[in-house]
Amino acid sequence: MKFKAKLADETVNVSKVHPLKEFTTLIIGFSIFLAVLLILASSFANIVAPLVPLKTEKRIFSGLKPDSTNENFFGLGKVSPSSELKALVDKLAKHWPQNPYDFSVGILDSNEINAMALPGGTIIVSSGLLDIVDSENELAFVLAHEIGHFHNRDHLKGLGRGLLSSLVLGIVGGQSSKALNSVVSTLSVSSYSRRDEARADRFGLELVQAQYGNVSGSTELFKKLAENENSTLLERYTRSHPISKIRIQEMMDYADKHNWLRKEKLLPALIINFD
Amino acid sequence: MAQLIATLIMLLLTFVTGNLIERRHYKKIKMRETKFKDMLTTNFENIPYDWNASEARLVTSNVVISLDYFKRFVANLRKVFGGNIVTYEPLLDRARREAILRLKEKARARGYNAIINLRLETSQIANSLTPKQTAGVEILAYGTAIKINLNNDNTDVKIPIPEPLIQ
Amino acid sequence: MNEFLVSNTESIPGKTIVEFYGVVTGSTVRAKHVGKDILASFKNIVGGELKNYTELLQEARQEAISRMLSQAKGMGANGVINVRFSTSSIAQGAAELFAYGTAVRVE
Repeated sequence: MKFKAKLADETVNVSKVHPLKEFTTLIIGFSIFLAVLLILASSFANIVAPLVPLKTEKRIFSGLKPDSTNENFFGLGKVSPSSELKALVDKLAKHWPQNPYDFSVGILDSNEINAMALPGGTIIVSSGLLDIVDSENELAFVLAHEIGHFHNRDHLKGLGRGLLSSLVLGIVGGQSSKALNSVVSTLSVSSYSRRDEARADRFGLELVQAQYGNVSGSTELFKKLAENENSTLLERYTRSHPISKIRIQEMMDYADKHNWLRKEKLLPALIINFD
Repeated sequence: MAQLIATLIMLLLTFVTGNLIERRHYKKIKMRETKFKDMLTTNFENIPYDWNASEARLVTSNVVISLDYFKRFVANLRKVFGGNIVTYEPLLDRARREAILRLKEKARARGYNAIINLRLETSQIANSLTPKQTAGVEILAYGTAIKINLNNDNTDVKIPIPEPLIQ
Repeated sequence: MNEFLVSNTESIPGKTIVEFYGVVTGSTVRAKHVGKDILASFKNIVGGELKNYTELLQEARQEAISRMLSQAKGMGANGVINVRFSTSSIAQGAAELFAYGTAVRVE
């Protein structure tokens, strides 16, 4: 037996796939896979969430009230309850006779301009929004719009979607990077469908008309947002209430159709105390 | 968003550095492999009598190696779909060849010129901070270093090696 | 040189080893996909054979063997003897299948 020194073929044990190619195919494949799963999950949530009985909703989410001692409310940040805002919401909600909720309203300490409806009857308005609002009418419409989401039971859709997508991510993304999770959660939290928003807009207009006898100032906030051009494309895309000229136009058309006045004198802004 | 951008930067950076380190390591490995090419290495347990073997001593060597961020990212994506994790392969290939080379270097430094009964072992080293993630992979190589004298190197005498004990 | 011989003994009965070329290795790293993972976790509750995994590991081991053999063929060998296998989990959900042996030419 003779020993003949030979070098082994070193290319055998390493696949001839370029890591960048592998990366690209996997990223594309994974995005498609995730998108399909999330679309399935969210359409499922959209169908099922509104079917949840009111009683159940209230029971589950009764603890979900703004509390100034909680530094991180619902994962959003610091939210302090506001009696001034609650008074305004109650005033508006009186015009929704079947209203089953006892609303609580909180101010989120955030520079972003945002408002949201949370299950159990909680409305959150960001301090950034309060800063740019110039009249009571303007603020009233934002709140009425959120009440509209409760009326249409959209608020549960958002939550259901969030729950299901985090379930999907838990299964699929359990092993994958946290960054992906953050992207997906940003996308899934954002935006009700355009149809849901338009319905909430119309309901909001009805409440405002019933309260003030006109709908003046309702589109003011959207106009300001549309003018605010320093928002990046990305921000506009992920904002949960997309700015849109179409939306303003639709609101004005709706008001005109009902012969609601929209150029009356606006009431001065409420004085709201928050830190 | 910030997290996404940070991730992308990390991916790009670690792809470049990882590639650089890998290429440099491979270059070193190839150089040393050529240097040690003539050192007899096998996983036979028995020593043929014509090798004139003398002295035997256990030698061990190990390498712990870790994946870069980019490769781990790709590997994690691959785990969703299943299949060959190609980014792990160079890691193990490098580690194993490095371990064998270190074994040979050790043996030669101690005056031996052959290694028999080579064995290779692989184990995952857990990271105590994030138990689910790998800190690295250890490759252990061990074998018996011997001194041989192949005086009949160029003759073509056919010598059957011993049959197994159980007939 | 018609048939490639693989054995995990040091000799092949009826054959003589003429030359040997050194150690050859073959390895693959495999991951099972998430679906199989989920099915397996259910199966884990009741126990029994995880058929999916059995197949997967066997497939991967076959790949490792063929890589080892192609290294041996590249050296001009017609057999690999004293073959050893080792399977190790190198990360969560990923296993390495590794085979090694000595490349030889037998007659």
